[in-house]
Amino acid sequence: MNAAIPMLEITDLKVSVAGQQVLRGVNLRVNAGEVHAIMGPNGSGKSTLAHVLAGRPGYEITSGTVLFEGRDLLSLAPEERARAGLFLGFQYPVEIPGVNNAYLLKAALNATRRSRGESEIDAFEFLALVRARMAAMQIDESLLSRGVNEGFSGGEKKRNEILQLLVLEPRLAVLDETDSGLDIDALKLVAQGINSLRSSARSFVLVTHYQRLLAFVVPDYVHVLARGRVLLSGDRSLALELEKRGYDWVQEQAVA
Amino acid sequence: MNSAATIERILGDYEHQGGARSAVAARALLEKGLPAVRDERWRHANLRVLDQIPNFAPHATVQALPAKLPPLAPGFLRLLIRDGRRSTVGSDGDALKATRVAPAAAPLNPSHETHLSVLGDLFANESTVIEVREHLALEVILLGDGGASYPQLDIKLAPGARVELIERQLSSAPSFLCPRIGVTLGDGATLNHYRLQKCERGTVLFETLTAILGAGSRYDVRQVGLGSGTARTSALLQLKGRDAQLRWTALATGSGEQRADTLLRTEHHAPGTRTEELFRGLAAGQSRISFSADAYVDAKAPGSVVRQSLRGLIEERGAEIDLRPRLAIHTDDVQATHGATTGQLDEALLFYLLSRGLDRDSARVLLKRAFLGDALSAIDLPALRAEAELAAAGELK
Amino acid sequence: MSEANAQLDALLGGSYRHGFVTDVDADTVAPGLDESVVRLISRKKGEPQFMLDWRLRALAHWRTQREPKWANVTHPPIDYQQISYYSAPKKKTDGPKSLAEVDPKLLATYEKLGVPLHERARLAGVAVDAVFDSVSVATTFKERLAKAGVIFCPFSEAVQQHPELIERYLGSVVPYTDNFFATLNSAVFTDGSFVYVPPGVRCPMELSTYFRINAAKTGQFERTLIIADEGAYVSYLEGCSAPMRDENQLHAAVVELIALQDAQIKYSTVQNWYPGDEQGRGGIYNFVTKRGECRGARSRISWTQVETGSAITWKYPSCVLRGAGSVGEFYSVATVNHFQQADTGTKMIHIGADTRSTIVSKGISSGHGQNAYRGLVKIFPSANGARNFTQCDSLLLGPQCGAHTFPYIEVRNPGAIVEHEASTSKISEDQLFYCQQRGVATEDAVNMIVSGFCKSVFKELPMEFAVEAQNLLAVSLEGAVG
Repeated sequence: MNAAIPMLEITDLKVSVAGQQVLRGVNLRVNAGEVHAIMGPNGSGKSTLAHVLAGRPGYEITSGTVLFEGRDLLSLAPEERARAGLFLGFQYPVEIPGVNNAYLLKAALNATRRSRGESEIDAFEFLALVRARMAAMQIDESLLSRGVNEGFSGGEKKRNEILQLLVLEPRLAVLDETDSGLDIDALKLVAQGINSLRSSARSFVLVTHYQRLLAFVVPDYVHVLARGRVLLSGDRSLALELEKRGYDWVQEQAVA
Repeated sequence: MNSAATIERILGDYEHQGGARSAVAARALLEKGLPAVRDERWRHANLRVLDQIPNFAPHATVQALPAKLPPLAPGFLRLLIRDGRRSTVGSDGDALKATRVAPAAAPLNPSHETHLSVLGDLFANESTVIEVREHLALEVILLGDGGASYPQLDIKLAPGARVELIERQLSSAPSFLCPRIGVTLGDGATLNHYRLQKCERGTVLFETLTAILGAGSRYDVRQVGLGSGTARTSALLQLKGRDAQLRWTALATGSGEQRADTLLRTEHHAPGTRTEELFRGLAAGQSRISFSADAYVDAKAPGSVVRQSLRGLIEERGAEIDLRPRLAIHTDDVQATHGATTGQLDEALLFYLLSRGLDRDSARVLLKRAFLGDALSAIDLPALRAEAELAAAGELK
Repeated sequence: MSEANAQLDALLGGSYRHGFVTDVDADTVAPGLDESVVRLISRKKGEPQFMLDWRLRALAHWRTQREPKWANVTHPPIDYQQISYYSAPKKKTDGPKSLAEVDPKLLATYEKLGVPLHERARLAGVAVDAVFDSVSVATTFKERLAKAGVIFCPFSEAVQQHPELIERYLGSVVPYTDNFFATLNSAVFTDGSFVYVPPGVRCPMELSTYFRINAAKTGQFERTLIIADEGAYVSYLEGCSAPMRDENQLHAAVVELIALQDAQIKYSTVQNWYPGDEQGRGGIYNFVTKRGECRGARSRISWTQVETGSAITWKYPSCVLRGAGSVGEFYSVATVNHFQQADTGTKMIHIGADTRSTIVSKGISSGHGQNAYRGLVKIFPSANGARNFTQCDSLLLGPQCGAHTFPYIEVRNPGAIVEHEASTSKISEDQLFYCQQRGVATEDAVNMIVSGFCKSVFKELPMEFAVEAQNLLAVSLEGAVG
């Protein structure tokens, strides 16, 4: 990969939902190998940003561009973005009754492999891969044969998201509030899972309200998103300051 | 039932009292005949009782004597409609002022639900029009003193109007009561309609209710069916304006040989419309209680919501509960759910109550109240709720 | 992961894959229905007098009947005098005595259909009776079944070789007066399958019939009778197909099941008669009466159906639960696409004490299709402790289709518990997006979610049928979501 091309480059992104402007000109550049944390108060547009990157319907992009490894991301269908290597960890993973968890995982993996011109993974290889990843995430094997997220606890759903992340090995992972609703042990597991994938060729965007995940997954950059804009950027210490002082001062500073 | 013979008898009674009032209705009766139980929508109705009606012509002489009437809910005006006619005796002056008498309404467009209203179209003397621009709290009593009567109510709410309406159906002697009630809700209007039917056991009640709901209007019905030997409610409710809302909460009890049958058809014709239907039926003795909730959502009504919850409780062998939660959906953007259950009083709960020292009767009353709870709690006039609870579930000693 | 691979394979398939016509010399009776036709059919079959008498009574009754109108389906009037009531592939001799004598063209037809009639059947271990138009063509595995005492043969053969069983059981569940189409069938049925499993015998293999309509302008009126004697068990599979034709063809079958004490019958159907084209031209009218009676205590009848074909489907596989503690089950997936109409469901008639029934119905509508579930749960006063659970879900794919739910719950016993749950929804956009975000293409995601929606029914099917059913589902909903 050409190191000069960033993994993700968002320029002046403006988005509205049902006529309401939510993102008012977001700029963000994420290089390969970097971990960025996007923090901000509730309603600041963090989740909107994550959804727009993944191509969820229902958002109107009124201006701006998003380049993913130099490609125009916004022109791609959601599944094309996924196959290109963009992974969204859902804040609220949906339940899909009757659709086998392992089946979805295999279909997803093969879709990505096919799009890269690789052969489909054979069943044994797949099982071995998934089993290893499940062990790492301490996910009970019985969850494999259940419906996707069907009847999973909140923590199980989140760990299942990370399992998918570990199996699919995307180039860019956008994790939307993956830490919410997790107890400390689960949080450490999730962090371990993320850290195990960190590499110079892969980037992460962690969307979070609190800094507690950042204690375990140390970000290279921290951005504060509020009122639909990135108001402040800094390094890890910014997260700690936000933890201490809340978000109000950032917003006040921005207004001032 | 020999339908042809019944029709002949009805038309005979019609001719006898002078005829000519509604030749259209007479022709309709001849052409359409009477509904038959083979018609899905009349499957559980007891139409044989028509053979027991001695005379279909309306009760000729209206009683002048004051009737014994239940206490009036605070804040309400009372209007008495006796033997199909608005009565000055027994009505509040302001209630008379707020309403007017009009000629009997034109026959309804024929549909499955309105089929039997042709009788009212033949015989009705008059229609009471309740037209409200702003606000009204009114209690209407439909009283039968024996014989046949065909009361008509025409309820029209102007846009934004709000009406609290208590409708009582009563009879003092075996009667054939055949009310026709039409409701039109302007945009944003709200009608809270409390319906309490406590006719004496020799009475046959066949009622037809139609409603048209404008945009953003809300029609909230609480129906309590307790009396009559045979009671049939046919309702056709059309949600024609965007975001119109209907809530129909009903309970019915039966004992002895009672028959109670309701067909509630709701039609969603506009986007964002919503209906919630809840029914609780309690059948004892040899009674038969039927409730059919028939929801139709047409292609012009995306974003609609339909919820139906129908439950029956059979107290004794010999009783019967028939439930039909029907959905007919013609658009994909809809949320529709229905649930229907029947069963008996939970023996485990009964035992629990007995073990806490309650006597068997009180324990049963308590459990019946619990079963009817969802329906009763929707009646937000305390006095009326207490009255319904007592009559439906029995007294706690 | 074979299920997964099968599903993906199915996506590669085209539209109706069974629409080919076999060119065989057929012995077809001129269209029209009167007594002489009934006599002719009976004579061609060499039937005993009681059968002819029964047919004639049915015909006389049918003439007093009118076509039922209550179902949620519409079609132009059917001219019953334009239908040919008998079509048999012409035989050179008296009829095939073994597979070797069966017309190779017919065998090839079944090969194309994937019916495991030949050696493959042996491998698959499924005994097959194939009904081609009106005649039963071959029954495999006869000998092995005979060893177990199981009778599995064409209906016409059973009439001759086991008349006492036919006379005793025929019409005992579906009388010839039952309904318009059953009455018509009783008068003119030409063949079908017969199964008798003697007391205490567990049928050593799955039995299967494959129905195929081939000749133009013919109706198919087959009749199936299955008797599981005390303590017996049998699993029976039915598959169907028909070639593509512009006109509509009538299929009015009757299936009767009888389970005596402690017996169990599992009856599975994968129905993919030609559904008509995208404009709604042609296709089979599938007006079928299927009913089983749990006659003995603790008997069990289980219907599983996957209905993807036919222009119109009208069928209500039902259970009469007479024996104490008997169990009735109905699992159904029905899909409609283009202009297909389905009005299907079940009746569970609880007469005996402690009878139990389960109904699981999954309806999927797309295109201009209309899909109705119609079900009756009736609890007689005698059915103390009866239980029913019904789950009835509809999935709508697209704004022009319809989903209808018409349950009837009639309870006359205080101790009975009846529960009915239903929902109607479309595929959730959240679910779709979730799959897409994992890289799954929209159409695959839809198929995946639809299969998941049907899973509780598919798991009731025998393995090889479950795969076929999944494939059919994907094919029949092709292009349903753009």
